[in-house]
Amino acid sequence: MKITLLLDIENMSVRFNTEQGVVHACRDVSFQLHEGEVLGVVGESGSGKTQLMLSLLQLLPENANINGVALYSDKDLLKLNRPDINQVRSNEIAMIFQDPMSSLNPYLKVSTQLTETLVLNQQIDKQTALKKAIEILEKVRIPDAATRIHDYPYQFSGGMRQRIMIAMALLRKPKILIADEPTTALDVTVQAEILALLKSLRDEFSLSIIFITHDMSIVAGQCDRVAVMYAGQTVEQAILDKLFYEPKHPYTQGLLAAAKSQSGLTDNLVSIPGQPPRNVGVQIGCAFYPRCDKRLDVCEQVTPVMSGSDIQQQACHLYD
Amino acid sequence: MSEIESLSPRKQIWLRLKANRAALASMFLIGLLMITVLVAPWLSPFNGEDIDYEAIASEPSITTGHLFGTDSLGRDLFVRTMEGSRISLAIGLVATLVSLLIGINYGAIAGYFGGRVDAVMMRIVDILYAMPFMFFVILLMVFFGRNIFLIFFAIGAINWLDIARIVRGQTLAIKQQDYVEAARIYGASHWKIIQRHIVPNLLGIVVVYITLTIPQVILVESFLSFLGLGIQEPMTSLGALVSEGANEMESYSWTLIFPAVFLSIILFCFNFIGDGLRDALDPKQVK
Amino acid sequence: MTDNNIAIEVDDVSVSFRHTGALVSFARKKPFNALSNISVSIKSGSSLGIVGESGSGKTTLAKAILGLYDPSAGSVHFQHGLQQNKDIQFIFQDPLAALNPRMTVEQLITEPLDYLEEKINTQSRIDKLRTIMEQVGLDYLQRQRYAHEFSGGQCQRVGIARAMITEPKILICDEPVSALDVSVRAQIINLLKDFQQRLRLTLIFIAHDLSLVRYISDELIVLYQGKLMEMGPTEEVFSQTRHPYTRALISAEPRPDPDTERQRIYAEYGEVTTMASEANACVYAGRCAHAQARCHSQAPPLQQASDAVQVACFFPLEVATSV
Repeated sequence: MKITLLLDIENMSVRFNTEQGVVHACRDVSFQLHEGEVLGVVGESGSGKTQLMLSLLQLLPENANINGVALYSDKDLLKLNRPDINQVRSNEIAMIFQDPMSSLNPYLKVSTQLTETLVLNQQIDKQTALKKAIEILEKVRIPDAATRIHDYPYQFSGGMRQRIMIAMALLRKPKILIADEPTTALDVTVQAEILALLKSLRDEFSLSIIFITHDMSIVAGQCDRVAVMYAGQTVEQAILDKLFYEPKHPYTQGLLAAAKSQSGLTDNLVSIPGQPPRNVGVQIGCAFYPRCDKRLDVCEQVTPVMSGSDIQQQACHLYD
Repeated sequence: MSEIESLSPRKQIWLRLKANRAALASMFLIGLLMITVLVAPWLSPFNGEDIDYEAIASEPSITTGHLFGTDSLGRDLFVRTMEGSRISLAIGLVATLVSLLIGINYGAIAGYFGGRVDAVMMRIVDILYAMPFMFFVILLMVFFGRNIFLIFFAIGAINWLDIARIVRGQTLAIKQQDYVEAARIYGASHWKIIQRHIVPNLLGIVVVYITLTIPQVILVESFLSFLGLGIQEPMTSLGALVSEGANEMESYSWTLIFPAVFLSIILFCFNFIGDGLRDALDPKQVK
Repeated sequence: MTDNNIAIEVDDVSVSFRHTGALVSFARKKPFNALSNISVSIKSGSSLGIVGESGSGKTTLAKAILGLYDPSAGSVHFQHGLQQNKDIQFIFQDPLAALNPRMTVEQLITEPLDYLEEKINTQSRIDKLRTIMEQVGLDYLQRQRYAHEFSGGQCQRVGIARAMITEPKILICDEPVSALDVSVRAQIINLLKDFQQRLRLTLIFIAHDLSLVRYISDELIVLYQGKLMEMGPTEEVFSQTRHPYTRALISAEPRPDPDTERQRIYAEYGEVTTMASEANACVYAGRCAHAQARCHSQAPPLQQASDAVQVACFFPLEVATSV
């Protein structure tokens, strides 16, 4: 049974030219997304995960310098011209963010914001568009959708606004949904509902999802495969169970240990010593070297490359 | 992995400002002008009061030694322009300082204490704003004479309203910051908070307004001089020179052109610097 | 106060807000009840966790204890010798926002010393700075740097140093690690625990979920929409959860374990509606899976459910009788 490859990212690097020097947000990142799959991209500050996703849709500012290839149905997203990338943004790949207010115009009613894109892109009339919009709001479980659609964003709670944002993303029936920390700003009970919603929508809309988060617990419940990023690079990629039960990279191991301890699954609270990196300047050797408890001499000098199989691969000299 | 430290906000602002060509050129030009204005009169054999009977109302020339020519009374225009620039700049700076002192204190107090205090203080500002200030300044000049200190004060007293409003707005924003609340919690008095936490964080916006107020003030003084109400002879300002020059415009055009050019340069430069600073300080530009 | 071991006594405190500041007020705005009838005794040297989601009033309670808000009803009492405006310090949720961007780390940490009654001489200041920086794990040589030059975790250490330099007896921490990376959270929590144990600090730890509270708090209270739902020793509240809301909080949290997550049955937790300030219903009734008729018509009082635990619920969950 062949699973279609939807998105193929190869050797992507994102650099910003700033006053402080060149900031390497992402270095040499490669991964794939298959049809129907949920890929988790895990990372903390400085990991570069958000910049990577933004660059796919050409949403980065002018001083960004992007190298590499991002293939989506035989097109390189990074090289598309304006009309083509707009087409991708509206119908193929949708993105939802941590802060729903950043996607919702506070001055427009929800109905306007939802129907606007439909009328423009799919050339349907306002009435039909409104009907479709109400339908989608019902799908994301907004109570009284037909009435509430005429409200303004500020009249909804945080969780509701996030649902509206999801609705807006799904309205155009995208193939891929990129969710950038969609529940981080929400209360834990609301988060649980949004995660459940995403799970059910995934099947209903045949979505392939890239789930960006720093929270390993969310990954455990949502994802099929996981890519762990640190200092702008992927350090480990594996299918879910392999990553959680047989993590190879010391950073993954540390992150899991910290997450498990904070979930009350162990007796002591555990952390990784040191702090996350700032990605300025040229890098020699492994970025995790300063914080790694399993480091070898070679780690300081030589940057490790990804090795392994489709099931699990890691960038670490311990496994060379 | 080599790490470059992130730069302090101050350095970032400076770099952004340097990138703005107009602002950079303006800073250079103003600097040059200030030095010239201070130093040049020493270089010239003439002073602004002596009358050169041999060269009354003469054109600029190198042979006579009058680089900018002379005015209808025979006074060397170059030195007078320099003196005029000095006075105009001085008025600009001092009057701005006066308005700053009043404005910052007023605005910070209104913004920090909020509530009724703020409401009352700001309504006073609103009322004062509505008054025809030029009218009052002119009245002052007429009644109390054309004392240079009075001019400093009067002009400064006009501009403090703008600064007070800006400062009050900024104070409202800064007041909400966690570090202000932290200071309250560990026991800082209101005055210490204003002094240590509010005012230092206001300075950015205040600096922008200084650079934009200076040209305004110079223009106000010039206007007064044009009306004949500015500073008294033998002191002169660019406004006074322009006023005299305007009278002689048809016959001795250089008496108008030189002071006008200097005035324009000063006004333009400060405006460009102010604009550049405003852009450089805009937090949205921060990456 | 009878028990001299109680550092802080929160006695039936309610806090409500009304619109202030206008020169003339035309509208009579209805007061917003952020906290209603909260009573809790905090033992000296112990650690209390205050848990609640947004709108629960947890930060309001902290600020009422600090004295930043005046209770509209009830009062906060302190142990003899403890002063509200001197012996309590506070750690903020956003480590960077709590630090004045124009001050160096040295100035930031030592500023509270300026407001003490006894003046500290220069040498003493330097000694205190050096000591506290060492205790929180900061390099003394970096004291001339500015806050933005440090990472989130380090900024929080600066905040802790600043709070502890005056040797307070009570420390309130408002979600001190929520804004930090997962891999460094434990560093800060362990640091706080360390201070607490060494100095017998009375620690109040505010959290929006129950995960970390278990490590740092001896007792905890669960708030919802300004009302107290459940209160008691942490271990008992976790192992013998009685209030449906507490149960919801515990179960809603995902775990970093795929097997556990695969078996998760997604319950309906209900959406938070706008504040229902009726005095004649349980605040949680609208979202409660176990709500019955009585819950919608009467507000449950806080009742003793076991020796140490109090619950505000007419139908608390069944717990195992053997402990």
